Amino acid sequence: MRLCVPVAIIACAGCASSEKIVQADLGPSATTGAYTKPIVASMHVWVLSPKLVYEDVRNETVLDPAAYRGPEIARMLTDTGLAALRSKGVREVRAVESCSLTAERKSLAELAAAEADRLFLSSPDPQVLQALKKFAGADESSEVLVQYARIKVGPGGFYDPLLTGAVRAGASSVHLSAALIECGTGSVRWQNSVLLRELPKPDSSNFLKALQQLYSTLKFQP
Amino acid sequence: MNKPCLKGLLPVGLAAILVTSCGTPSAPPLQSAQGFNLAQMDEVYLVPVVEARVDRKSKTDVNRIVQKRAAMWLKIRGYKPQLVEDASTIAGITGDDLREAKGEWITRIGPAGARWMMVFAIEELKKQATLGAAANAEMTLTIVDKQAGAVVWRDKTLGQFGMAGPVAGLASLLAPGAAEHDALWVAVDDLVRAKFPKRK
Repeated sequence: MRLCVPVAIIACAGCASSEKIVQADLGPSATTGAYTKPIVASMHVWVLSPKLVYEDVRNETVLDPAAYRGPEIARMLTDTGLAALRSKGVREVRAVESCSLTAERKSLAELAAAEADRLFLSSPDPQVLQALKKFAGADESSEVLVQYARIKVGPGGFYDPLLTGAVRAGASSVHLSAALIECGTGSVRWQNSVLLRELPKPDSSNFLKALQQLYSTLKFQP
Repeated sequence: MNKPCLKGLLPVGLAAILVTSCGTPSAPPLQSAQGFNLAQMDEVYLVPVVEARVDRKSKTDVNRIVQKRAAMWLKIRGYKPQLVEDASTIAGITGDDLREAKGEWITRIGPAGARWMMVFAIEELKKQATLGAAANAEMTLTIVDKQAGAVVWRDKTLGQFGMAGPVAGLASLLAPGAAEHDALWVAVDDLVRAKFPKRK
């Protein structure tokens, strides 16, 4: 009986813990697909290389992505984006990195991918939007899928209830963002964002779940 | 409802904060404009905390806790803090916006005619399931010289607070926001108390 009370207390305290995967609340448009212009499956979408930024959560020191299997994570993001668009019946979906493009178009796509985070600002960077417009060329109605992830690497959690009473919660997280942008107008047709409270690993089930959630709100009109 | 419980926890939290922060050397800020010195500020405007969190489910009143704590340390250090209540002054500003040294947002932040703006942004506030109570508060502080239209100071910290054991578990149950509250205090202390020199 005496033991039951602290055990129950601890169990209840645990109930109030934070969720591992959180989808950003972007308002009703994110779930209903009620955008200024319907997203139609007949369009042409280019998938840009994802931008991954690894940083120390305590001081924003930029870290080497290779140390955290960044290239594999980027590959998975691209593949998930391609698969999500194809599964929705989009007519033409192509990854920029696997297409042969003119040197000029390639450099424009690389510029937009490298500055992808600037498309998620409250006022998207006009220079990046201009690069997208030039990249589309005559096919102004084509769209790009932009993916951006800020991976915050923090100290891991630990607890020592018996000796020191010290507890620390793990502080690593990744904020995955994706947006579908019309090249000609620069308007954001769809956007979603998911927070995963752990370091992304290619074999992590939570990371796979977060990737699925990222595209769960993407809806098309036939 | 949480207030009486929280007050009971504060001495414990305060002691833990003092213990954990004693002897910790303060790291240099992420950015400091050339020639800028924190002590040159006199009247400092504390604008409402920018919400840069993805997960906003926590009911903790981040703005009230951060503004009060920061104002307290600023007063102790000889500055003149002015609290800005109007949240419209920071409407639409994102965490990524604050990384920009010169952005459109600088011109509309805080009251007209004011010079020094202190902008706290909360990027993450989470409570973790443990054998006790633990919370992390990830926060940035940006100081804007509105007259010059530029960011003059930018700093970041991870405020961590945690206590283990059944007593902490009970405390967490009675005052659900206490661990988050104390993690916010740790973060503000790290950004203000540890960095701001005393003004003469």
